[in-house]
Amino acid sequence: MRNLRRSCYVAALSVGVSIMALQVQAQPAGTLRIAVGADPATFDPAFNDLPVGNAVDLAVMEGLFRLDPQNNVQKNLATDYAFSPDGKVFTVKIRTGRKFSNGDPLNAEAVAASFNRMLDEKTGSIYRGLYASLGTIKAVGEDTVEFHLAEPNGHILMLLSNTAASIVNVKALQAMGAEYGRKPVGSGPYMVEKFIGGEGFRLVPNPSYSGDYPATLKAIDFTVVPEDGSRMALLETGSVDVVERVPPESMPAINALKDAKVINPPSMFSINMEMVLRGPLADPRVRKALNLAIDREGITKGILGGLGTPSVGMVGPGTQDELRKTFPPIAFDPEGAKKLLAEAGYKPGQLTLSFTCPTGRYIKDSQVCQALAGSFEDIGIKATPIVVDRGTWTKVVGMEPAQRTDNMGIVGRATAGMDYTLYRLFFTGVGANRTGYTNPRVDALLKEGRAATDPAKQKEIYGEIQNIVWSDQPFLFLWYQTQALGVANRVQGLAIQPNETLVFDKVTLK
Amino acid sequence: MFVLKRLGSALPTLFAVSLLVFLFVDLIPGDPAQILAGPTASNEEIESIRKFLGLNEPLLTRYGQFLRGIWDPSAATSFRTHRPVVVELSERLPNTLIVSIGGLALGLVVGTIAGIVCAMRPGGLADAAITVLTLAGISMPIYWLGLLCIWLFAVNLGWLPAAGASTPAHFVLPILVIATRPAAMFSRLVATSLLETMGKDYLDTARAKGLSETRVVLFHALRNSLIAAVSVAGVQFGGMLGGSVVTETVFGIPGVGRLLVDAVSRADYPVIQYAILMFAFFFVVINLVTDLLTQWLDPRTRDQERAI
Amino acid sequence: MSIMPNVLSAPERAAPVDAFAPQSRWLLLRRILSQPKGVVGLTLVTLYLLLAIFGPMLAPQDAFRQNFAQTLRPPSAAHWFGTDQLGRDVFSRVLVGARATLGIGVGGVAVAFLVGVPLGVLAAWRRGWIEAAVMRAIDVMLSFPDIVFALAVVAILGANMQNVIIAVGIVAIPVFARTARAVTLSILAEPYIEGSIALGANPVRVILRHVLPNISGTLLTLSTLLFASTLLSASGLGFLGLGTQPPFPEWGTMLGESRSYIRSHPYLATFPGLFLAVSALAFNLLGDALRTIYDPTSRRVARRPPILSLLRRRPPPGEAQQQSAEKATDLAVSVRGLRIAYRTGEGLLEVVRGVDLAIRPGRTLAVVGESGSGKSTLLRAVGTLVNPQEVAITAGAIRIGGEQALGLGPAALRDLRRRKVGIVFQDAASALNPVLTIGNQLAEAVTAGSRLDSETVRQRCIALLRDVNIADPERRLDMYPHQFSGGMKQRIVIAIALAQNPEVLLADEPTSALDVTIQQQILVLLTEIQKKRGMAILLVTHDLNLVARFADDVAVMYAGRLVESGDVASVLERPLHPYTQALRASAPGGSEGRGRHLRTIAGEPPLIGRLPSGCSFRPRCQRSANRAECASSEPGLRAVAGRDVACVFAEEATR
Repeated sequence: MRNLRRSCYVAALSVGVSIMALQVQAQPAGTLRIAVGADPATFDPAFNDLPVGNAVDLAVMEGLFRLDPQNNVQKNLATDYAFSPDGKVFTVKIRTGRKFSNGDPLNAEAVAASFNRMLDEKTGSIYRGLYASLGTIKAVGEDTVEFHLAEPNGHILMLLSNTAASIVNVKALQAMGAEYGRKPVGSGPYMVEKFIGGEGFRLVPNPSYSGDYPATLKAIDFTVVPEDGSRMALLETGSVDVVERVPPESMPAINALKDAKVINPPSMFSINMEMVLRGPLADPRVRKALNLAIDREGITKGILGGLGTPSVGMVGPGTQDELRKTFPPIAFDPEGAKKLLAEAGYKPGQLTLSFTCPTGRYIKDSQVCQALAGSFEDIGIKATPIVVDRGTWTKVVGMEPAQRTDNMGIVGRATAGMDYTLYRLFFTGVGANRTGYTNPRVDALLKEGRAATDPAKQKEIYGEIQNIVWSDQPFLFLWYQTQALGVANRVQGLAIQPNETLVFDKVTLK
Repeated sequence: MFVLKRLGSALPTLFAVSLLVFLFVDLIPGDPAQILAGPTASNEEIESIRKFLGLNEPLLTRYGQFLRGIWDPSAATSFRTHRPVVVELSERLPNTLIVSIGGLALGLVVGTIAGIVCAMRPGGLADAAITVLTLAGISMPIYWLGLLCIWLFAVNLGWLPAAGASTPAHFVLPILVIATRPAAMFSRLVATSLLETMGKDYLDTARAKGLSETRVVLFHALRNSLIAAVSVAGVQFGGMLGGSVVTETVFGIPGVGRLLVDAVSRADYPVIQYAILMFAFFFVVINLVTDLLTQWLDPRTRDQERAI
Repeated sequence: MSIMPNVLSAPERAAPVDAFAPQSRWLLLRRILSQPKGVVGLTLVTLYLLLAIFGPMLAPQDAFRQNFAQTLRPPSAAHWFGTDQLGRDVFSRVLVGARATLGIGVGGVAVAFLVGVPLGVLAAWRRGWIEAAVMRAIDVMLSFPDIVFALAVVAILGANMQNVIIAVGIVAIPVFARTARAVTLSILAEPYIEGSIALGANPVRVILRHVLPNISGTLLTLSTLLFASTLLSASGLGFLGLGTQPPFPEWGTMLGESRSYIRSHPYLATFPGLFLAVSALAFNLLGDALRTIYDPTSRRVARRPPILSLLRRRPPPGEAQQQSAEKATDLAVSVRGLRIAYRTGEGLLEVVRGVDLAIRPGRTLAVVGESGSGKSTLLRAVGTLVNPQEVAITAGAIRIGGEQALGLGPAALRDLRRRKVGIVFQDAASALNPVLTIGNQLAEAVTAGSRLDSETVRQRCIALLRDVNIADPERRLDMYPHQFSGGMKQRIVIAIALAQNPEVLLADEPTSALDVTIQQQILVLLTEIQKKRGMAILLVTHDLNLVARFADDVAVMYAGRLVESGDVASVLERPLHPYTQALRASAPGGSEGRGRHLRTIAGEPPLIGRLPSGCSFRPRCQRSANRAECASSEPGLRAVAGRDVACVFAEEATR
């Protein structure tokens, strides 16, 4: 999951929201215990790619910006910022007198070092490409950072509010080496006290923190339990307060508990069947027929157990909502689909399609795959689902369209940011455009949108792109994932971002 | 001396394993750089990560690097954590060993006792009960059994913790669950070979000495029938290390098995390679222990070994 | 290991190993069905195979038909096993899945067996570099954790059923190969195989005739166990997403897929799980039944533990009267009216039918007769070593050194064995425990029932070895049986038998496995010891020359009865019973005779349980030709010319 994020905060518990404000000033108290499914390999923001890691980075480090619950970019370390008139230099003023948890000063030089380290080829950061447009970063005095951009970018604030852009202590990092990934030195309200690989880790308040989000908890204990059933058992036995990734079939059991409930915050993660636009699928009528053949309500209710909502637009909720466009749901119309297929010249049984699905990658992925095959059979298509392991799936869906031997593949995308999502998926010939989609108008609009800094202009440009993509249907649009967490009633104020990051800013324990 | 010789002769095995593991890992689909970069990464991003990981080097160079990591930990670091693989493995190993050795030992003891009971009274009530339990033990996928045990002992009865590895109590369930297969296997093997041994004249010789039946069985028959079982025990232990992949996932134990599963799904080549190489090394050691045990149990093989 | 108690037939035990291999398919079937576990196992396996063949046709509903309105329904009349998360009928899916599931199990085991067993046998047979290469390859394979290995195979080859079979098969190869090698090695080390190899027998023939039948039991057990574990490996692959392709049902994969529903919808995992587990059970039961048939050693049923043997050893009826009639206390051994029967599936089968014996201290009684005449059983009964589970003593009394030997409790029995009985078996190699030192085994005999310090024990052991003329006894104590020659081993067995100064030494063909010079030495040794210690010897043999030279008295046994007995001089010089005469005639005159004296007697020994009416020797007897007396009743022993003889026309021979 990519971690460019929007901070569409979601109130975990409605009660929690109302009393949040009252408890901000309280002394840190209580230990929050969380069971997570994924094993974070590293908290180093240059390499972390898990929501758990994001949550820790958010708590342990600070960025220049962060996102507030209303989706607005907020200054965090930054106090002021400005573009140069030619749009090539972006200047940020930062707070002074801040320190890392080890006492090192957090000044402009430290900020510049942190960014330059991420962008250094020798670091090997998985985000280097994403942030390449930042160019080179220079510190001017104690409190000013200059980004000499490689290209004009209207989305720089989005980039800088991502946890991948958290400020790391490069000096400490050089001294610690890879151990930094386990006990990162940052300037956030918490710090990692211990980390036992594969077992868990513990966050405790950072005594030197002086920002706006002071620690409210004495400790946050994470336990890593990959198997769903075992993880749920931890909540049921009262061994933890929060469990991540509740499978749909366990939701009733958890809701039946006296002192815990399931919460279902929305997710920007959207799951689609991405088509390879050649052969039969080059014909828009066939693509439309496939889209009409799917009973999205049936799948999200019946198979996903409600942990999904049918897609109503290319990007998921929480993806820069001010730019996002939604459309009426696609009808479930097998008859119409058959007609379209007939128009395209396929009699029942004449069209053969195969599609690749991962197993264990997304909620109920292999079952959905079988269900989709059934739906295609119903409109007279010979459909072969190819369910493969994650490694093979990564390989298949990452192939150039020309090399693909199948016709479609299920892929989930964290649609974190308009430019980020649409440019990468639909610009002609770019890396993640695995459908082979090409549309000169879209290409032009994408370029224009990237450089545009005016929100109204952006809204217009991205609105048009979303219209075109939605009607071209290069994807078989499926659903947006819905998160499910089991949360004990004593936990108040837990927020979950649409990119599945836990936010501990206001958490208290009853 | 014998031990040294055996370890020396194991070196080619380990070498073959290292080569195989290296090639295997390369054949398994999935590009580490692509997996690290995520599904939305561009080709250039993937390429730069691939370069950083050294995946573009020729095969031989990478194999050399892999071998170098054996004596120079800093030469082999995890793709994901950038820590030396040796450190990653050594942190996880104790947990795996506790569960595997504990499970095997428990399974051995229970299985041997059950096997004796079966062989003493074939067709009896205890035999029937043990047979049914044995069959259940070897017929149930370990994850099924594990989850049912968690449900019963942790959730319903509340006797034991459900998952994790922070206290000794956390290891009770996994050891119990993992012991089922060796216990089942041993009870059958011991019973079978004990029944075979029971017809031997030397048991009558022993009886004619006026020894008690218990002594005849435990001292004379069992030792002979354990010879076959011991060689299986060695193989079983290898299997248990492999089985730790599933058990550790179910019980949330941070062991090598889970590290390996994670590494496979993330194509963390160095971790996969060294984890398997370590399993191989363990196997060699276990094999040696098995041989020594067999020799101790069966003096006839001792002379054969010496003769070679 | 079956659930039902089953009594195994024992009388055929004397037949050679290969005779157990069934002659035809029908015989095999009959043998399987004669065991309860065989019936259950075969029935279930047949049902499963039928399910695999016809399951897809029997499925009441389309196993692939999805219905989102009907997902995760509990079992009902419409859906017997409920519906799964896609609303498909689980019952139909289970039926359709039988073929793939069993195919994987059978296929995987077949792959492993066909590759692993030849490799293992080859390694054991050729030793040398072939063995080294095979073992090294196996080591390498085993070094990979099996799930990871299978995962790699499937990942590289691609996930489909055929590759799953290959993967789970390959994973199991080392187990087969290693076991086959280990068992073959131990079989090849058996003296009779070593013998035939030394004699230059065709290796293929040795392996086919001797090795394979002997290792088949172990391999069958292993196959059945691996059948289950192969299914589980396949299920594990399914769990990791590398099993059979999901829309197509397979029990292991179905179970893996439904594991997260174990608590919310338990039936979803239960039915495929049950079918999987019961199929493993079925194959295990059948495998066990087959093992009993193919592996003669597994027929030997174990002894009951002491407490139960107490219940079993009720004093035989009619003992009291006979006891009073005899002044048995003077005798070292006294047997009266002893009847012994094997317990078989068809009831009791008498092998000893009313035998009286008496041996005075210091005397040697030889019991002679053909194989199957019941003489060895008689000897074991006197030694109190018959297995009460196999053998019942139905009537009669045995006294040893004046003490009642039947119906004793375990402690009394041990005490009797220890103080009064020493036993020497035909094959010294199998009479000594191969894994214990000679010193250990001797010391055990010396210390039984007493408390001695270790130095005393050691000295006594050394003395015993000296008594049996073993040089350098101090050093020999720490050696193992396989380090001694056959004659030495027999001396050691004798030393063990003598350890507690028994009143009776029972010797079951003590020299027939030895060559002639050693034979002489052993017998001379026995005679010397007898003179020194004054004990009685019961010698079972078929060698009349030996009897003539070493025994005082002789008892000729035929079909479970004594037909002639008396002192050696009168019986052997002028035998009166036609059978004794035939024995006598067939024995070579010289002292070199061993082994095959009895071949020349016309006709076959009678089958136990199918004795002719009247005199049991009648069919082979020239004297009896058409005489009604011989057919009417079985003649009893009567005194004729200084011995007892059981022939109506015994006097004819005196003329």
